[in-house]
This record gives sequence, C-alpha cells and structure tokens, in this order.
Amino acid sequence: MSSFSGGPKVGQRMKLYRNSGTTDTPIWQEISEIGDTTLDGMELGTAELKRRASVWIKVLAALFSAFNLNTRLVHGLGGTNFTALRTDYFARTAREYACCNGPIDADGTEGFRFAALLTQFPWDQPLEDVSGHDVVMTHAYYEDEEGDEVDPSWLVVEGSS
Amino acid sequence: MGVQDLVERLESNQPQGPVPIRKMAGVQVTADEIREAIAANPNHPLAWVFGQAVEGQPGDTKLYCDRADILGLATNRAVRSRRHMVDDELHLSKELGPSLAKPAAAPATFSTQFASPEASAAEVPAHSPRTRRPKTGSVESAEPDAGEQVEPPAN
Repeated sequence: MSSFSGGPKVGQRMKLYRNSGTTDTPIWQEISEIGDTTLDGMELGTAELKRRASVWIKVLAALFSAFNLNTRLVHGLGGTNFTALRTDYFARTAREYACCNGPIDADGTEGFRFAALLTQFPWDQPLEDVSGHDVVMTHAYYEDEEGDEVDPSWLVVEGSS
Repeated sequence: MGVQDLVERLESNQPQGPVPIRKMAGVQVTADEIREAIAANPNHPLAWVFGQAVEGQPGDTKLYCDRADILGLATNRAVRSRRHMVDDELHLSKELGPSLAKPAAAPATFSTQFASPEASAAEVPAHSPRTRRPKTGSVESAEPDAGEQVEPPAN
C-alpha cells in the first residue's frame, strides 16, 4: 500500500475543514455535508520572453493566481457549518480552510491550508433535485492574531498515531 | 528581544519556497473534552482559543487540533511553535514546553534578632558572653548550672 496518503482514492474520501481557532492554534471542524469539491485556479502567472537571440519563447515565473475552492453545500444538513459559512459570507469575514486528502488526524494526510472569503453563496432550489449552494471560496488577505500576513501553506499530518 | 527572536528573524530571511510546510499531529477531541480541559486549567494561554471554538457547540461535536495544543492545555504546559529549515523549505511545528504551574514558595526563615528575650536566651550558646561565668572563676565550664537562670545584660 502506498505510503503517500494511502494511495489513490475518490473525492468522497477526502476532507474539507474550517478553522474555528487561530492561525497559531488551529481547531479544525470538518465540513462534511458537501458534494463535488474543486480547488480551482491554481495557476502560476508567467511572462513571456521573446527575443531574436533565440527561436524559443520561454516563460518567466510571475505570481500565483487567485485561486478558488468550489464546493456544493447541501442545504438542510450540517446546521453548525452552514450557519458559520453563511455568517462569514454576510459579514465578509475571511477564515482559514484546509483541503485535505484524508482525515486530519491520520498520519500521512496532506492538504492545502489557506485563508479565503466566501465570494459566492447562491441558493439553488430545483423542483426535482436536492437544494443546495454552489459555494465559492476565494483566496483572501488574512492576518494572524499578531497582525502578520498569513500565506497559504502545505499541511502534513504526522505523529498522530 | 532575545536570542530566540534573532534566530527566528535570521531563519525567516533564508531562501525558502513561498509555501511553508506545516507539520501537525492531528488528534480528534470532542467539545466536552475541550471544556473539561479548560475547566482544569482556565488560566492557560490557550484556554480562550479553545473556549471560543466550542462556544455553543453540542458536547459530542468532533473537533481536530494539534496534539501539543490540547495536551498543553490539559496538562498546563507551555506550547511552543518550532521553525526549522529542511532543504530550503520552512517547516513549522508545535512542541510542548515546561509546566506553567507556579512553584511552591520556599518556607520562610526567621532571624532571632527580634525574638522574645526568653527565646533568645534559650538559644544562647555556651560560649556566649551573656552566659554567667562560674563563681569559682574556672573557664573549663561556662555553662550555667542546672536550675540556674542566666540573666541578660542590663543595657
């Protein structure tokens, strides 16, 4: 069995967490009543280098694009998380999230930790389908409790067992 | 500003990738367990962080935190953030520090300077000038005879 996150797996086995603590002392709460989830827009901006001295167009690394996490939040389940997300949306509050490939208390789990604003919180009410919200979380400016800017980080779980 | 602050500043200026690696020993705890830890050590620096995280939450709500954080709260020990470089990558982790319990005060010692005359007399050693010399003038024994009371000098 692969040591990297227990091998390949479907998205249903992966986890999304919301930080209800602080940057230095995170306390993660799982957001489980969600469907398809995508960490979108993970792009590196580039500048093209073209000159007579070379027949090749080459790129130079610029900035990382503002990325989004898109997820389908089922309406009517997970009241605590729904209330927290709704409150953050209307209050325009940025919060940290962790998009992981497994449980955050299991050795070997890895994920992407970032701060985001809820920029879209629509409400679908189809006649013959489950009502829900296609939530979009966009990477946002965020400061920790000491006033220092917080950048995204790669989360690695080890020492849990 | 101490040496640790200098070390952190120097390490933070080293070439590193833009995405640090945060190491976490994740453990699952319930809201009730967190409340019990807060009740055991309400003055711990992390008590307020955990308290506001479980506010309004049902007791069986599952939450996940770093082992060092919750263990530090439960055992009243300091929790430190550790930064170290691995192959030009900044790794961040937590570790437990010493106990935050205040050491018990040492028992007080008292000087005989302000003690009562009776107590001072009882503590006077045999060679003290306050001891009466024997009537025979002998210096072999300067201790008062049994039953004989030693009077303090009249100053």
